[in-house]
Amino acid sequence: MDWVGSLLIGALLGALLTYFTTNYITMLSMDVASLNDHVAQVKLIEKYAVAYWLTDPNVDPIQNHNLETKLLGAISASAYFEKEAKRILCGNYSKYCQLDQELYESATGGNFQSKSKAMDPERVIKTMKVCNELCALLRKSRRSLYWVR
Amino acid sequence: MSGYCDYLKVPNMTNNPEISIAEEYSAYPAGRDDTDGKFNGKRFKDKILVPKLRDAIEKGQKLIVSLDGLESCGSSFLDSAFGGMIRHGDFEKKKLSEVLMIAHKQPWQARYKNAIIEYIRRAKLIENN
Repeated sequence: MDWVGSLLIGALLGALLTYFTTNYITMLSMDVASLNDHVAQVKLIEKYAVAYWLTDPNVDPIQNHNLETKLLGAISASAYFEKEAKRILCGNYSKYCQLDQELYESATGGNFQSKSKAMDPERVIKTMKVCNELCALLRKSRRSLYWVR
Repeated sequence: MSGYCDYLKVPNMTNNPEISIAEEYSAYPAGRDDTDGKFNGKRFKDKILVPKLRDAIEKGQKLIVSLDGLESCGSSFLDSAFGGMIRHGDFEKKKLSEVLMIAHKQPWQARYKNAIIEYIRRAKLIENN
């Protein structure tokens, strides 16, 4: 009976190990997917922001309005990442908050949604820099998800 | 009122008046002044924010501005409404830090709160208003 008992305990431990490993890998995959989605969202914000701040509303008011709506929608949607950002980003969270704030102010500041809005190349450059810094930080966090936890 | 963050000091919240930007103004406020549409920052400041703040100060209370329900909000609106109070001489920064509180329940609205605090901090009085 001893070997039967050992077999049962081994099988139980194996099943438990499989259960916890599967759960861990699933959670890790979900966190990586969240980070990937957010990188894509930041790139979308960058795309709309560049197009919007390089559009002259006097030349193409409809395009300007469309881009304004898309940019605001993309910025607003990106905020939902905040719900899990602290848990996923750990030590990079405070830097993320700072960059996220910079992006919000850069992309929707100045004369955003204003009749006096004009083309603003400086804002384009600032926004692109922040977006790239943000993406780099998110990718760094993705790497550390695999190695630190 | 249970919020993630409050602007500077946390008072006894029970008797303080509260305004909700989304409910009393718009869930989609936009623009700086009247040329930018109905729900612009200057109009919110002049018609709602400043009168309610003055009323709260007269009664020795603090005003809680709730961000709950805001669906989208450009930082230009927030700058015009909150930074505008300093630029146009409605209040001094010190007074605002004593009476104005920003509250929100959702963590993602911290972005708006941080922008408001930053715009008040950066704003400077424009002479000859």
